Amino acid sequence: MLVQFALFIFQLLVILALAPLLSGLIKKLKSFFQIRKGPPLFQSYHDLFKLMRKDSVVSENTSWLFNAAPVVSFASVLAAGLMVPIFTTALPFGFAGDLIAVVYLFALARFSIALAALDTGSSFGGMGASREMFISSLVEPAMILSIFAVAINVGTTNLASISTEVISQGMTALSPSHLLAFVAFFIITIAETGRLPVDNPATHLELTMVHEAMILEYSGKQLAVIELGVMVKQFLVFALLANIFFPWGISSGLDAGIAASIIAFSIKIAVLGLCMAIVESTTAKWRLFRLPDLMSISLMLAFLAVVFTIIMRGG
Amino acid sequence: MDLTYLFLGIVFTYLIGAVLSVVLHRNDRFVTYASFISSFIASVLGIIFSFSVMFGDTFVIDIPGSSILQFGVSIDKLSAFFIMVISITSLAVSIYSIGYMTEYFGKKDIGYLGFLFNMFILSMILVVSASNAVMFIIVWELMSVISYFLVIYEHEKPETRKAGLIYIIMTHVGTGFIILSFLIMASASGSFDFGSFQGIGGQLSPALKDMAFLFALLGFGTKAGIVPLHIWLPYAHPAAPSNVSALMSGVMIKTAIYMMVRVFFEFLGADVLWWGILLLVVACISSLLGVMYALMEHDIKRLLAYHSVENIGIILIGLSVSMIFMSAGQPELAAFGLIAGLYHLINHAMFKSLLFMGAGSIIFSTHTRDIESLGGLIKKMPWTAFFFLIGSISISALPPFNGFVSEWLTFHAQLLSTNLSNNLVTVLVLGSGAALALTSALAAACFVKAFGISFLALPRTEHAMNAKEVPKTMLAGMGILSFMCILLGILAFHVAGILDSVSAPIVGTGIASTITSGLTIGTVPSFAGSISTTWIALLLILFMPLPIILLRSGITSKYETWGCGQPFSTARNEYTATAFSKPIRKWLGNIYRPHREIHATYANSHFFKTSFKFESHIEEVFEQYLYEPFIELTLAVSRSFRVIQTGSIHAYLAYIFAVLVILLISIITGGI
Amino acid sequence: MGIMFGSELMESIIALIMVSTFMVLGSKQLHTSVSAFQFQSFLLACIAGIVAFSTGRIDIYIVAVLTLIIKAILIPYLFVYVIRELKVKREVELFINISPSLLIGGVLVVISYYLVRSIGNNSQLSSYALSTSMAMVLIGMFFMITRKKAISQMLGILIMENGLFLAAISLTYGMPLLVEVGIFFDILVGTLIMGVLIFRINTTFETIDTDRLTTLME
Repeated sequence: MLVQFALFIFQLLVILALAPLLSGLIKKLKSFFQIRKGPPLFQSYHDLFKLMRKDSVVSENTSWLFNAAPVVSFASVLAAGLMVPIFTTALPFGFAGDLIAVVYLFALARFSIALAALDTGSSFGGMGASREMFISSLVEPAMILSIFAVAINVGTTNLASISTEVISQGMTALSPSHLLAFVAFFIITIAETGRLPVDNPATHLELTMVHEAMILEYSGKQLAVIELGVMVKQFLVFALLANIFFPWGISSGLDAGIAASIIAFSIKIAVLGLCMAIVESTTAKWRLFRLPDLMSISLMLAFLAVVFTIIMRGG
Repeated sequence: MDLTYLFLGIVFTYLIGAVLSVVLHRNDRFVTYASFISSFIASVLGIIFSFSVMFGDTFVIDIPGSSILQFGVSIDKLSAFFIMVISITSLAVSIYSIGYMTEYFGKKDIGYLGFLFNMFILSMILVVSASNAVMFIIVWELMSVISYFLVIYEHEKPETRKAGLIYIIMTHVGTGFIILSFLIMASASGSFDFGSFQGIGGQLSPALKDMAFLFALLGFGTKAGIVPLHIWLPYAHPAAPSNVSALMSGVMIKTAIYMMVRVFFEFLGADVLWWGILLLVVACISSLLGVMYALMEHDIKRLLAYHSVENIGIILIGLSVSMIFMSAGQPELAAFGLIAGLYHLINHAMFKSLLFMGAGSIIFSTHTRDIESLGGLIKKMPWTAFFFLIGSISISALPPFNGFVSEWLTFHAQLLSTNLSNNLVTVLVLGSGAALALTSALAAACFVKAFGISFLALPRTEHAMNAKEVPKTMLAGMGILSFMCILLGILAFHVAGILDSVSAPIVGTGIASTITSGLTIGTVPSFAGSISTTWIALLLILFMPLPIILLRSGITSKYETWGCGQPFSTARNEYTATAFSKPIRKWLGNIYRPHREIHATYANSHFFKTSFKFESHIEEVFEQYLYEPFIELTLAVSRSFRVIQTGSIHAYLAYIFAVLVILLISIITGGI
Repeated sequence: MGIMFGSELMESIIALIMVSTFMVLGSKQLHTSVSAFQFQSFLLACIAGIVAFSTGRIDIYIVAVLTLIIKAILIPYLFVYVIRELKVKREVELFINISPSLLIGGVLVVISYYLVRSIGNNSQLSSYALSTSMAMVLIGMFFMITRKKAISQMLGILIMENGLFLAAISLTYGMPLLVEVGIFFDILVGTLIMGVLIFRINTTFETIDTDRLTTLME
């Protein structure tokens, strides 16, 4: 019981503490490719603390939903965080939700923020919410198919079991369908974390912003909570990418292996962050109505992953 | 024995309600209380009855009759489950109606509606408990006709009469197919008793069996509203009073699913692979098209009606996957699929009735169904908004509410298809997962729109400005179903056990002990995966205070919404529902075929517009390209026959003479 | 039969070839399509290299090198040259949009898998390679049908050729060297001729839109 509780606290602390670091890391890597210095690695923490200390200005059009949305989205992202293996596959709440549940918890967070965006009565909010729900409709089929591809390879959807199963399969796990599902999931990651070419996290131009348009009316502490929630979600999606597809090095409990696990995880996340920075630096923002093309590529890759798995099993 | 009295008690309470409605119809208030309190009492009895059957044995009453027309009721666990769904929904709707009917005081005859309302629920209960095909057809027609009269309750509106016409035509065509299917089965069994239909599939030749399946699919599919037989739904459901729409959409279309389970699984045995595949394809198309058209709808009740098409599709995905497993001889997996389907069925009954009642409340206090002219209702009608929000979250399949559990189960039912030996079927079933995912994402988008545009931000018109919270009875009705939505969500592990006891006799094996353990619900062992909505809910509640503690201190000041530097922000600046759904309309333009008209009037110069009108329409593919050509063809054929209708008595005599001569010739040449 | 060495690596590379085919199909920029084709040819060269290594045959080494030089370097360069010289509009013009054509591509993959399976009992890898190559042939043909520009039709033919090459190299360790060299020469010359033709079409019609060639009927 005590061990479970310790794991629970450990997982929470890891998520909350490391999420801003990842966001800083990607910014730093991006600046490297753009040959500029960029903000310090720990800038995200400073931003959050600064926002925490500020007062909030709330639109007078809003209702209780506007105040509830950050809370709900933050809570749902954290709840999802307890089901995603980071350093260890010993998850105290691993049984409570599988990969599909994690996806739907993210959807709950998105749903609440989209509603809050409409609550302000601002055209920006409506625009952001509309685009966000549009993009999520594009992402979801590809997401579920790539989940299916992974799941039928390992015979489970529970995240910790996926990791251990992939490890136990050894190098044979790196089958073509696994790789295809990885590429599909990487494209989904771009969309889910609101990165170029789907959404530009750094823009405040009304033509291009999606997520930023939704949270335009938030300020101060509420904004801090939302920002932290977004960072945690990004961290979790990266962790999914790392620990579903390349789980090697992850430890099975709070034991001596944890140090190696931390190192392995850092390397994996850094490599993924590097890939993301390269993608972001080399592509321009796509027009909103070209995104179906991108997402159908991802959908097709996931579908191919499923088909290849079925081919490979013979019969 | 006391169950007999209980069942008769239910029947008689509904009848008393119906009679009282007629007797007391002069006094609006009295008749409202009399009819809806009796339907309330009958629903309570129905819940008690259904639970005692579900945890007990099959309940049978035989009414003596001839050997062919053996009337009677036979209520097994499946029937009891449906009686439970009907009763819970009608319980909430009855309470709701007490308040809702005040809208019609002095305008319409409440007694008439009360009579139909009671008879409607009674007919649905009899439909799911009939033990004989002839009796079934009678009560099924009774249900259709009563619901037709309910649809045209506001018959002074021309569009209501049109809706009623479409509904009655479609439902009669459907009944025709049902009768054909029953006749095929009766020809093999020699009796119209449902008991003799059990496993009749084995005695039929494959061709007849396929025909019985197809006729049943067409007949019950019409009532269930599968694409392309769904066209009556978006007309009929909005036309009826909202409490009736709640019952029609929530439970009436489910009676078709009830008979599908009976016919496909129990009577025909579900051992043909292509049945399941056909149903799966139809289900995917229904769910996708249903939600796509819902997204483009701004009439809140039509929107919800299209969502019924969508959700029937999701229910049928579970059912069809289950049939595929049955045909592959894997009853355990079939049980899982069936549980997924039944779970979504009860969920849909709960949240769709809740949402229709919410829509009714909106109409009650704003007198408009157009969400474009609403807005800001969350401040005027906080409780209605809260309940509608719960319904929206549930239907969008977000955890930890009930819609999530059943969609999760459906996804896993699809994943279990890896156990099939036919690769092509596996790929198809897994591919249908993408369709389900798209459906659920679009549903979420649609309910962000429906809730956001009608309840949030500023009121767009005076309709919304003058809205007031609805009476407490209406809130109570919605509250009960909201509570059920939450309960069915977080008690998933318990509900799955109950549903297993319903599905076990149908597929022949129970899997309750393998899929539920403690507070979690999982899949059958060959494929691992588990969720615990109870724990998800607890975790969410646990984490919610965390940001609140962070947010608490500090000053929060109110200020107007930033309007891009404009000096003021009004409701005219708000995003509209049309604008909200624009990206999806553009993306799926091949399906919607949108066309838009812009009318502008100019003052003197081309640059100064005095007024500006924008219209955008989408096409209903099936209505436009399937039904209209059919109607055109029928009319053309009829027109060509009109030539012989001269109206002259001589001509008619000539026809008779000609027929006589032809008959004589044929007798002479062929007969003798 | 089957290849002893690196069959898992082969599987992964074949999967990547499939991905690159979909990249050609799914990109709206001509340049991206060309680089995807380049990537595909590079992967084919890798496969040839692996086969050569595991069998130790010199001729296959030569084929691998030729593939690398001609298909992965020369032909893409020619493409880029033509695109630059003709100032072809960079956005691909299509009859069927990207998303539906990707979906159709997916269906083609499933179809070709079933065609291959119905042919006979092959080993896992070879049936896999064969279905991939058949899918490439089909997708290449589909690509030619749905694109308007003559230059895309060249690309379609090359994808089809790559598919055949994949089938040949992974099933029978390639055709005899002489044939192989002949084919390479053939494609190269073919590409050149088509390039010249496209130049001619361009100067005659002021466009390379094959849609407009219907005016020849008049």
